[in-house]
Amino acid sequence: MRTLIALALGRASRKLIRTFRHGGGSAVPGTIASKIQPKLFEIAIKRFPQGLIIVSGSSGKSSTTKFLVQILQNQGLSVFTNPSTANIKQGLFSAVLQGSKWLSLPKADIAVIEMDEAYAAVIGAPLQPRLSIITNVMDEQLDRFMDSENVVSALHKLSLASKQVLANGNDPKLAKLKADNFHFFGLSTSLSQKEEAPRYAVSTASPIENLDFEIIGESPFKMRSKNFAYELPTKLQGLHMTINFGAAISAAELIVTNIDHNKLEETADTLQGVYGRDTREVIGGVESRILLVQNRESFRLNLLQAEAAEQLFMAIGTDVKDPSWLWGVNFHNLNSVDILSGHHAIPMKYRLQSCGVEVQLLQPNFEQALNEFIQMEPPTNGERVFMVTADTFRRMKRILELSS
Amino acid sequence: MIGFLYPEICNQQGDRGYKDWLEVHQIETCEVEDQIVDNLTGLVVGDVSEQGAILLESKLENHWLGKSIAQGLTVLAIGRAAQVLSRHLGIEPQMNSYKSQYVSTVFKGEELFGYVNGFHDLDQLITETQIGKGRLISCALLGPVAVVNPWVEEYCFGIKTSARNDLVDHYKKLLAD
Repeated sequence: MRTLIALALGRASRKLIRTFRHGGGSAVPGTIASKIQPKLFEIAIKRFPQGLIIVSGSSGKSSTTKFLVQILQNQGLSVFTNPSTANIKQGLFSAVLQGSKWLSLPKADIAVIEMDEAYAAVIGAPLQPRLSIITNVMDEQLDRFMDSENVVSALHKLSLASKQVLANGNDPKLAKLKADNFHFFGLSTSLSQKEEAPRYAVSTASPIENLDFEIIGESPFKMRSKNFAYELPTKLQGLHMTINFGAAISAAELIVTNIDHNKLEETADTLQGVYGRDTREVIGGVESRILLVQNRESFRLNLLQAEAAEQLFMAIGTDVKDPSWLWGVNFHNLNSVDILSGHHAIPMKYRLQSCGVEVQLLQPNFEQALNEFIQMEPPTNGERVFMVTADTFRRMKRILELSS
Repeated sequence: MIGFLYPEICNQQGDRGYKDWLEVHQIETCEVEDQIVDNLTGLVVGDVSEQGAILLESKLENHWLGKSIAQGLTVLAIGRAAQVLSRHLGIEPQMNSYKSQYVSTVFKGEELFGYVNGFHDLDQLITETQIGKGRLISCALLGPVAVVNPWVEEYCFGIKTSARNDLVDHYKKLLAD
């Protein structure tokens, strides 16, 4: 009965919020439902006959999840998943509400859930996932985790409760967790030494030398495992996305008994990324690129993608609690930022200046900043790029009514 | 010349960014590792992670740094790096509580602003210890502390860069929020 009431009230509040607020309302219905039936998520997850896959780690969770969902769906499985970033308690409960029809819980063969690192230990581990995918450990959200070792500790709890673990073997902190239930994916030594390869948190440990799933080519994507040699066409931009795709294929190999390679090729060819993670969108009549930056390393990797920018909008929002880490990003390859905005525009201005980057206009009013940027003359021989953090990305979507 | 000790390790909070700030203001900087650097006017030791602290501790064994401090070098050590360096120099670091938030603190009569995250002596967020002819300034305020607080760089290294009143005001506002 509690489950029915939670579904009814949660779904009603979701509908009400979405009526009045474009693109909003993912957390409140989940909070309401979790108060009424604290076991709603657990009850929903236990109904999937092929079990639960959790994707966790500092970054790459959303993309890996989305890639894996597409692969599994094309292999013929029905998949329950959560929207990207809805990866803490309220978001997980909201996903159940979103996936339910009337008063019946979501139906699918398998669940693939992106989960925040801390919640992966608290909510994910007790569910004893069939497979946990651990993407990496970065120095990020330090205001929340204090130290990346606390993230390792949370992910270790998840790994102990999981039947199988697929972890990034390039990341020394994850290599250190190695146990019998672990499989490791990652870039080959030569790829991992490239400038565009992700860098992980400082560690006294070493990466895994013999990877179970070794990515050896970026475009076309090439990976070898004990059973297969993959060569797939992709339009992925950046090695960090290649790793996420590699993690998803490795997971599929562990889950699907007889993988259909023709269908896998189809998926690779038509692969959809997560909205905002290097998304091309026509904004104000101009094809623009949206790059979401979430931490020091994602800023670095996205800056490598933004080298073709002729016009650059940058906005650092309230999701950045302590702007100190911005000083760890190297902006020396940027020429200028056309418009700088967001809650931390002022510290960002000083960081950019210290790298010799000119800020054409600092506009504290975010909506005005967006409008002024969109009204600029279209670029002539380069790209128009929006580089935003989670908070300013959400506000941008709402103001411009972008549909993800 | 302002040195930055093991900047690959001591960069937990973007501490290395201060090097860019100094260079853009025509102040000479260098990276300081195992090799002796003898023309330093000051040394910055950025914050370290838990694993970074283990690496820093091992690198400081038999390091020339202690001798240089005793001969007159001023060191600004930030966050957990200050605790590592204190132990290395035989000073017991004071840590009484955990905090993660914006703070202001008064040091030598100056009000300073910043962000703390970790176990520190919350009654004394900045301390100065005389070691021979040199000084160890241990600072719990993280990240670009000398950029946010122009007084700090003048006090530690005797240098003045450009005015940044709006940055100081931004931190005051963050503290008030």
